[in-house]
Amino acid sequence: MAGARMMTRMRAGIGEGQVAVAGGMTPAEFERLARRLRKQNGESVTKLAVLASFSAEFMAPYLVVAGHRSGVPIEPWFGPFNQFEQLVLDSASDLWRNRPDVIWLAPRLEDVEPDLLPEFYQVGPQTARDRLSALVQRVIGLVRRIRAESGATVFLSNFCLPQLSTVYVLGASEPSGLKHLIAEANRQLAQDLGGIIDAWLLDYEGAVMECGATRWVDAKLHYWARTGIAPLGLESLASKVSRCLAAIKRPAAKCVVIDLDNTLWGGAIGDDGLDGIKIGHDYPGNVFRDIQVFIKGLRSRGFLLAIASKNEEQVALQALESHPDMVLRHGDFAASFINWEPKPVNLRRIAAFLNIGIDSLIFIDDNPVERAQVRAELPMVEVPELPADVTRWLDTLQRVERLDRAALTAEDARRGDMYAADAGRRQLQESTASIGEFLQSLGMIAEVGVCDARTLDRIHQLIQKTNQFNLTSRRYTKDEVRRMADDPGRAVAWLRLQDRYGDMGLVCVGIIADAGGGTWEIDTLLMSCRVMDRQVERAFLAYLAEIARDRGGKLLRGVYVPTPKNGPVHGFFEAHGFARDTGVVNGGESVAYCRALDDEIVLWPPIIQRQ
Amino acid sequence: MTTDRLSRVRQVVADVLGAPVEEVNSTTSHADLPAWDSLNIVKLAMAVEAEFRVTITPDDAVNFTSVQAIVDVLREKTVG
Repeated sequence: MAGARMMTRMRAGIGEGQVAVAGGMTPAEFERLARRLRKQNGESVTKLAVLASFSAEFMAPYLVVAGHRSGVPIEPWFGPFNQFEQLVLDSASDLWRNRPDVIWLAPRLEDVEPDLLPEFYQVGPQTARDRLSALVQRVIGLVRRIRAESGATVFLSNFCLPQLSTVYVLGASEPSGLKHLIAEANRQLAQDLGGIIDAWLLDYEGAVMECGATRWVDAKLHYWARTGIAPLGLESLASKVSRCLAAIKRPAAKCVVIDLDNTLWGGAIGDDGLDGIKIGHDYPGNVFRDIQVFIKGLRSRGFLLAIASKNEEQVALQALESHPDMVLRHGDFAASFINWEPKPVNLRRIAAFLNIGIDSLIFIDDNPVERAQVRAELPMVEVPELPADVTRWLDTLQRVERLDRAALTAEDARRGDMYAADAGRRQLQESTASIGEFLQSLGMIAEVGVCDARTLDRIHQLIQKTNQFNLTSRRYTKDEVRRMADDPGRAVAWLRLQDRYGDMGLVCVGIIADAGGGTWEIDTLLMSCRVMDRQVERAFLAYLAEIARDRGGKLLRGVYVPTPKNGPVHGFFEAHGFARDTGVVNGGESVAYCRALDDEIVLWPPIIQRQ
Repeated sequence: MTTDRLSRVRQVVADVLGAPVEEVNSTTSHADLPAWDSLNIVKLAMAVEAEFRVTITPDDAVNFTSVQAIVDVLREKTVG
């Protein structure tokens, strides 16, 4: 019953959200499973074209399985090996005929510069460096060409010292040794790719290291089949690809909810007291300290932190505040629910308090019963399965794919602080009598503008992840946003907001398009939920109307496309004086509204100062 | 042990070549299955190595022309 055994392992892999470890499937099992999974591939499958310097076809089943585990089904296609230019530069090639969503360029040094290693000591470091930088230029040129010709996302493998090589054992001590020249070339690749939209460096070298270089190679396959990568390596590389793909395609989680006792520290604070809990620089306290450091790192990468713990609140908070070895302090958490209620209740409260979806939570708890209860009642929450051995937790947490983010924006790094400022605003709201008075006292200042290179990343991020305050929920790639920003018949606009408690950054995005006949249509209008109920949306709508009128618009048309999540904005256009536009048939459930852009256009609310 | 070895080889061949296992028997050969090409012989070698924990060299794989031939190669490698 190998089939049943295999599927049990597969399910365990999916449910636990940790996928880099394959669970010991054999190559034949991979083939069988991949064949079955491929039949399930639907419309949303990512067409991945692999252009490699080696026979990469062997990776096919591993890519299919890894894609399913990462939640991004992949349909791979392989170009004949070592034909990068032939496939990319010829617009009639099979590569382009297949219309790939993602193109992965996978050159390996041993294939594209086969003489470099054996000749290194003959030609010397300067010549070797020149040959490597010529190679960098060559592959970056290919990436640019792909991006200019198509909307496909590009992955480019970085370089790795070939494993089947005799490297002088003390080679690392030569400052201009090949090892360091390769590192230089890799940094150059990263630098050059940084200036190209939707192009990413795939850490091939990292995949080799994670797998173990000696386990990566199979000399026989190298000489016999022009691949050289053993099944274990193929599996590791495929996981790397699917994880990178998931990081750019799937929205990351927003908030990490953490238990306290035996999760953030060893022991129970209620039983063991401040001096008895384990946190510090010696075992086992050092294990928990590293977990805290990891979680603190998540905060600076833009994740909100929250506590859900069964404890006496005062006792638990005092431990967080006063224990000398604590890395995380109470102020690092955007919400804390410390009480004796069941965990699912507190998770719901945390999501409501932070105004985010329950499906954007990740729940970390040492207690298998609590984990099971959350999984049963809130299946949309990701609950990593933690091993009984605490020393393996860090590795487990590092494999949680929904903690991957493709790129960091300035807002990500400051998000934790912005939510802390929010707590201050709430207190103020409780102490002021009327909502008008409260808004006045916030001293809001808004800056508006249109998309440029500086704002593109954040605009794209909001388009990808905003669910609640989003009138049409249209998701665009960064490239599409950039093209719309350059299109004179469209405008991609934004609004930044600050108040006396801090800078909330870029919080609104709108895209309007000339629909002809003097009508401008609001293609996209969204706002971060943090600034709801503060008249910010009115200010932003006024700005959009202003742009449309300045460009000769007579009528502004808005569309509301209902989704399971954007209920809060269903009455948005009516509330701002738009009338139902029954002449427009949008299909489905969407509804159109319009408003004349005469003198009576939406007015900027006086409560927000315009910068 | 012999029948067990045969059924495991049949399963590996079925998995790698995408054929229903019921249609793969000891006499099934490269002449019966179009997918039995040089690329898939490499895959068969990798799969057989993992399944039986043996080393298959390229010279061994030259003989991978039928299910029975694979069984014969394995018999030589795992005497007993």
